[in-house]
Amino acid sequence: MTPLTNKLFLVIERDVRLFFQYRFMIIMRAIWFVSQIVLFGLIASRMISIPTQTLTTGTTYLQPNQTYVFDINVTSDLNSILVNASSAQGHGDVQVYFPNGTLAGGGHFDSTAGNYSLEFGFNTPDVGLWSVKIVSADAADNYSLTAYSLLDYFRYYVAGLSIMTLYSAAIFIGFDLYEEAEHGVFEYLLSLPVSRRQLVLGRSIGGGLRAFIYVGPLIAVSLYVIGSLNPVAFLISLFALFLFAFGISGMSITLAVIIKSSDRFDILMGVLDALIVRLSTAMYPLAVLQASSPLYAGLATLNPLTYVTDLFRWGTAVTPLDNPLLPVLVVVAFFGFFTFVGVTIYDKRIEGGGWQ
Amino acid sequence: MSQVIHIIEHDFRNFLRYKMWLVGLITMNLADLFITAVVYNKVLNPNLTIKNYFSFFAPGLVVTGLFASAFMIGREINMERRREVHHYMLCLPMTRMELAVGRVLSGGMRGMIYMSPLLATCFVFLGLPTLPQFFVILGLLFLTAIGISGLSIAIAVSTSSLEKFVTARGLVYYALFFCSSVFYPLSLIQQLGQEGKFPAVLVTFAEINPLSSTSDTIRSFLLGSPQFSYYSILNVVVFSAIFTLSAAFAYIKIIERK
Repeated sequence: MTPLTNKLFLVIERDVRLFFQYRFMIIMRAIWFVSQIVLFGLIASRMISIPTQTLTTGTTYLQPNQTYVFDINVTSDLNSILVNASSAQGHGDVQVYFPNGTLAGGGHFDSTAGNYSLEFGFNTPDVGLWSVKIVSADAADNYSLTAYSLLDYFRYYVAGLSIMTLYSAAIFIGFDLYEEAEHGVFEYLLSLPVSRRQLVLGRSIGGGLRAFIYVGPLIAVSLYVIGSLNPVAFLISLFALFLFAFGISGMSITLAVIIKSSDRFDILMGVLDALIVRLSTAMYPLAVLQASSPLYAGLATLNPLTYVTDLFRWGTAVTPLDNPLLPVLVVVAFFGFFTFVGVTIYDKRIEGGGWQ
Repeated sequence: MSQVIHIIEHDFRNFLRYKMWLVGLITMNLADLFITAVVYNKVLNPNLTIKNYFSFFAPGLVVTGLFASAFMIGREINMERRREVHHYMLCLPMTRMELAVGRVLSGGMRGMIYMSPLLATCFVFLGLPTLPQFFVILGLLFLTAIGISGLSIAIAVSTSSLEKFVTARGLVYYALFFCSSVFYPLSLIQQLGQEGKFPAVLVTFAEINPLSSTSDTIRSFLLGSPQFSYYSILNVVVFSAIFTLSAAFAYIKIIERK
């Protein structure tokens, strides 16, 4: 190991050691994570209904009180289904049956009253030949039915939450800088026989590494909750997460030394967090964003959090990914920009005090 | 009383110095309404009683904004403690109780000032309440703001660094907001409780949570659902009384420690 690399490692080691002094914060943030899964994840998954695949669709002419059966052949566990039913006459009934023929759920639709969507969740997911029956009301008419499988929003959210937690842990290196400036440690660091570049590169890597060490056990919890894994894809996504964490640390350090005011930094991080997380696929799929607002979807496609979250969901087999190369390249570019451009800015802004 | 007013004036002047903070907070709150609520509105479970998430969440946003701004007083007190400005505060010619009550009240009033544009936004989208309803809403929001302000002061004087304060703020935020009807209807939490998928203690917590009471009262007046309950007022009064008093005593006791 060359002396230059050795110094870099010393900077990284210092940041990682510092992090583990914050046991209170580490425990509190682990509680944050679990509480978000248990509270928001569980409840929101009941509130949200995102169709992923059309299982069956059709229109049929029915006499009064006549029944028509739509068969659905399902090859992977079906745990919820959304049925949209309508007719010009307005109302009728829908019944969903398990492959073994027992009734899974039923409901009444009245499209004239705007009540044409029915969602059914099943405690015992099953594969095989499901059937959906539509029962006409007391008038002959054309009846339409479309059934969709639904995204398991709980698993989707848990995967997204892991990345959001990694993001917020990596951001914290910026707050450390203010603590050091406030206590006069910054000048001490500048007086060390370490070049500015080694210092910022080491801090960026140290910040990312400690975020990753911190999120590691939480990712293990996520994997347990999600309950699936695509090994090769997961390794690729872990590599992307590493780079993303380093990039976020670099971004945090860069912004901290540009702003030099803890108040402004805190609020800027809050605003960035609000926009970066919400305008990404961390909480909802891109198709839903697109349906809500093409502008939001456009901004989400420029957001590195979107790509790293998609990679992680691909690695944990929550959602498929058509082209993994693009997200990996975006994350590499993000890492490169904030690590190496950050070094330059840090170099110029680090001296001269002015910390508030 | 005049000493309390001096403290309130001091904190208000400080509050108006943080224009960046206010802009940032409003941006965060509006991002919740105009991004998250708009997106969730597209994918709402059709079996729910709520049919428009944007309308449902707008009253919740008022409470969210109130929480964020009322909590700012804690951030300032934490900073004063770290920079040892509190010694100066303690040597001012007023009693400790006047100092503590003034700070709790100013925190609450600042929350009200900040929240008012969000409440106006809520009225623009959901319609206006009657005059008595309007005063009930303002009263509940003020009591909630004082309670939150007290809570933030208690945390601020108990934490020694900004990071710890920010982390504790996050924990309180998640506990109070995610276990309330701010983001989702209370009936959904109760339904999960009945199915045994949500601990009964958390269901009860969500029911008595002052943030649930405040947001549901605004909803009952503006949306007609859920039904207004006098227990909501009782919840908020109890919350406010507990945290105002405990914050005042914590502030007096902890701030004098070396």
